[in-house]
Amino acid sequence: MNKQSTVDFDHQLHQLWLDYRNGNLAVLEDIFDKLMPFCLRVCSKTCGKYIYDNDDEASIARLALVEALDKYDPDKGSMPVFIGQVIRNRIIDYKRKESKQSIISFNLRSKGVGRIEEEVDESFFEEIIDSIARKQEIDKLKSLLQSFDISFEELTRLSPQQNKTRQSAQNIAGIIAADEALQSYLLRKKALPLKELEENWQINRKLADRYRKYIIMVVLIYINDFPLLKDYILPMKGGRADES
Amino acid sequence: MKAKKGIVVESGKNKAIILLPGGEYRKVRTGGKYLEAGDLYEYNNTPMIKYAVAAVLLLVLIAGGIDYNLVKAYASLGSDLELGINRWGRVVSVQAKSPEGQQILDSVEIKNDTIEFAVKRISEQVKEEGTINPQGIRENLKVITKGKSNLDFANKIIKEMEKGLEKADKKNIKEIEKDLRKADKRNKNESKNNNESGNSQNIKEPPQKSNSYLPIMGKQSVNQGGSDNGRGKDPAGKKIEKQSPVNNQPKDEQSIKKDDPKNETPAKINELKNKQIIHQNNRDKQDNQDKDKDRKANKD
Repeated sequence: MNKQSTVDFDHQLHQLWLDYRNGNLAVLEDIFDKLMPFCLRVCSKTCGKYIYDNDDEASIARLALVEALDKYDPDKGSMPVFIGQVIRNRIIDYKRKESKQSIISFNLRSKGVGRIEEEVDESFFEEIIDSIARKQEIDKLKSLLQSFDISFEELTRLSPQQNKTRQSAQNIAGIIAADEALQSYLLRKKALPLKELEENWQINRKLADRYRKYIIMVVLIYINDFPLLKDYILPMKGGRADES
Repeated sequence: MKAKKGIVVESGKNKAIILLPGGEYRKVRTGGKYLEAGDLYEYNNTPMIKYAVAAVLLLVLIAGGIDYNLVKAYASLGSDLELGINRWGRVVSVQAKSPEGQQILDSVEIKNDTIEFAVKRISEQVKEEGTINPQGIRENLKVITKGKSNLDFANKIIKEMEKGLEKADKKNIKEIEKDLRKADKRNKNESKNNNESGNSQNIKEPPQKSNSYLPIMGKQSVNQGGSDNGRGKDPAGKKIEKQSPVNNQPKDEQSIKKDDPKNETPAKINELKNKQIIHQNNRDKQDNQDKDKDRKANKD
């Protein structure tokens, strides 16, 4: 879990909440902008399905958010955890009500409600905050890759499968990210500077060309500073990935 | 192998693309689990090939077991026995259609044996017990196959069964030949014994007379196992010498007869008796001739 992202998020929310508590209702819009992805993800995780902005659960989450902002007390702990807990409880109440009215199918009643009522701890909400932070990085990387006409689907096929080859590709990416000339060539021409790499760095041209899409992806993560994703594309220690 | 935690970078309905530590991208099946980009996913790196190989082996074993026990043809041995045969020509089921057949099956274990061996065993057992007519089995060999395209298989089974019967017959013939040889030996010994006992009864002359037929007896003694001339001087000694093999012989003969009373057929006994009578007559004639010679010699 990334503690830093949780603390930052918590701090920003606390500032907004103080403004709201002091009667600044205009700040409510900022709070919604900031918290809605979190609220929707809490809904999705609770229901076990993707919740869109116009779903019933999203409306319940909005009402629950306002309720949580009114009831929040700094002594009750972290604000996102508190908000998440309130939203989750409201969603569970809604699901129970729905099952009593027999609106949902038998399948959902038998499986869904029982499962969503499982108790969760703080780490559940902290993990949601982290995953939102990671998602932001992924979305940004995805848009950058699109400009190079690369998709994640392609990367699964074109990535080096062997550890040694992957490390070689990551080393090439490191050389490009560290050299401004090579970096600017890549961003300008949307292609790897194979000739320069071969002449100046004695890089195997065949290898660089074969895994060019993977190398570009790694360069983009290095030069755009994606702290959460960077941990995942760093060369492995002792030839093995850090297993958790 | 420990599971790795990867980041979900893209998620679909049942599939997701994850970025694993070390920069490896993998496409995984989520099995309907709700995942969104940014979520952590526990990836178990155990090669699927291991499970696949294990599953295939298990499947082959199960399928092999089922296939082995699957009856492809039924072989009828007369009207008393029915054997279920698998595709490899092995007996996988046995069924008796009569109490006699059940008696045979109780005494032989033929399951998993080749049809040839099973038929041989049954045939031998049938001959031994004598409850079923062996000829009935031979004349009523039938193979019923499942499906139309199994004619070759049926022919093959029939051939195997015939082979089994032939082998059983050969074995039986050998045993009969052995028994006959034994019976012949016994008969020969018996006849010799009778001859010798006949001779001993005829020798009533004084010791001086006995010298006249010494050469003849000498020949006989050579034929019967040998005797020295020194002993020939003593008539009592001569008797012992002649009888010794004969005296021993009846004991053996009796023991064999007790052991195997079936070996003696009435026809053979008659034949033997005839032989003995002829032999006895010849011997009497010879003795009379000898006596005449002695008398002539005495007169001279």
